[in-house]
Amino acid sequence: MRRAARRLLRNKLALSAVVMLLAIFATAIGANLIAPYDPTEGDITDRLLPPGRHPDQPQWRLLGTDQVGRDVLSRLIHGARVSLLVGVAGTAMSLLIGTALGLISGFRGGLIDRALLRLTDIQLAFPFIALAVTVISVIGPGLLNVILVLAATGWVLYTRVVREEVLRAREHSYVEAARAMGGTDVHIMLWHILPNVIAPVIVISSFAIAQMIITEASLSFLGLGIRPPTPTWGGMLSDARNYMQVAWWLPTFPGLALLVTLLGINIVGDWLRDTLDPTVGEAG
Amino acid sequence: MLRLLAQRIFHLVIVVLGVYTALFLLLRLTGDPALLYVSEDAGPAQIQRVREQLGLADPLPVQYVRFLGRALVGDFGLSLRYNQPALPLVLAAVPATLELTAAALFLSAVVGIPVGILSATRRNSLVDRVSLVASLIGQCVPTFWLGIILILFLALDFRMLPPSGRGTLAHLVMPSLTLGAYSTARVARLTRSSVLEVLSQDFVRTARAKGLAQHVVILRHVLKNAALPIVTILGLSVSTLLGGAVITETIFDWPGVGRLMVQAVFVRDYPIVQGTAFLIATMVTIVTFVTDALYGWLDPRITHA
Repeated sequence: MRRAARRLLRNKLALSAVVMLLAIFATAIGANLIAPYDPTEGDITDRLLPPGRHPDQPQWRLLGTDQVGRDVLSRLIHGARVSLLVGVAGTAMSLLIGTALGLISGFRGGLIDRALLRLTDIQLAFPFIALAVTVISVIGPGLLNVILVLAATGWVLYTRVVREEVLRAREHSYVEAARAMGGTDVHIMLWHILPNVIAPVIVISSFAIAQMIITEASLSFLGLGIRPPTPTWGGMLSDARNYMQVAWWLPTFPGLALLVTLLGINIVGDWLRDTLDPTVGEAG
Repeated sequence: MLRLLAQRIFHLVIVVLGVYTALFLLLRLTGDPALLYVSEDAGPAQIQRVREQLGLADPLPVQYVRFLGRALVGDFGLSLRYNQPALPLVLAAVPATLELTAAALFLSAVVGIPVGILSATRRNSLVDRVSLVASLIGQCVPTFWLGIILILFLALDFRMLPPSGRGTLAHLVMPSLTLGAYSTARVARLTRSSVLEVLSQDFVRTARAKGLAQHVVILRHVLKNAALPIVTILGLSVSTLLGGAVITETIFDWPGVGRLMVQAVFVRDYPIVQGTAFLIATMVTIVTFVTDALYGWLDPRITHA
């Protein structure tokens, strides 16, 4: 841990990405305190104000206002909440599901193992976003549904990695020794397998958060994700399409917010992969 | 090879079966599909009649078997929106999607591979740094945002390209750029790292030592050995591209499978949703098969026993 921290200090790019992500997180958590205006309330007479100081406005319109007079900056700040919540909650859920299934698959083997492996094949064969759209078509949009869909589509990689690790660990003599000494499956999982899967799981999770954020934004953009009036970056971009010729700031800033967040996560993910686990390939 | 083909077809059946079973269960668990076929003010008697007509009154297992049987012969039912069989509607949209996906894949290959090779052979040069930053950004930029920005600049401001629709080559430029950006970046990054890996091996040093020119070393010795991961990533890209097509086609109003799917979702036109899901799964499976077949050709050590 300390070694990782020291390496982070030496890698300026990764360090600045971490700082930026922490700033985005802090903004999302303190959204109510930081946002200058209410993100969902707007006055139609204030519509499409360009970024800047307007004498008749109580505060700066740093990033302008949208088509119904809502403050773009405030909506961006609140939108960060949704993006991060979806990314973190979706990843956490798929991590739990995936790890549990991987452990079961690796330990039990046999029919369960083969069935689960086939299931991961099925999911990997189907494009992530198309799967999400298909499921949303049936269960309907909304915050909880989006998180559930992401969790249900994201567990596959965890299951694969954990299963492989279990199979490998079972060959090791120290695990046999632990078993000979009367260690139960649970004991072996906790003490001998989990420590080995932590590194690849962290690496997968970092990229998974980015993928879930972009999937949520894509779904919201298509109108199949999180419904208005909740501000989301994808939803803001979708609204912006009709006004982009008269208001350049509407399509620009939500996209930049997404780009910066995803860049930060990917840089940290690349760094984590190089530092923790060089075995997870480019595709991981 | 035949064995591989059989195996892939078996996988396709499993994949499609899985997607179908999930759709079937979700549809039946979340409400009564009969309600989709009647007007909103229909009485209980009318709803019951529709249920019987559609066979929704039968026990669930019976419905499931019938549902699968029909799907097997390509009968996804009547589209609720167009009141026509769903499969022909979906098939009509396939050429547009193939055209877009092929263009994006072509872009990824002709831009991504040379850039990756150049990066690797001139490691740490300016070219390498610029392409690393560009490919990092290319991997992170959201598809739909890129599409919007391109439309704003190239179509609306400068009026160089048509903002939407399909037809001429000019129509294809922005959608394929948008769709291909991510996979181009990924191909460039992967090509760079695989070429670097091959460059560090002994036989490359030998080839150089015997006086071969740089381009001969790269073309004849390095690329042949770096080809396998590149082909893999190109194969995987097709699945990503077909997924991305869902979004890209919607932005550019490109009349393909993806746009059809999203439109169908909005009006809860499930026969179309099922048909598009089936086709996407089929296309991915075919590509996986081709990729696997290419493996054996590129690297004779791999046999499909």
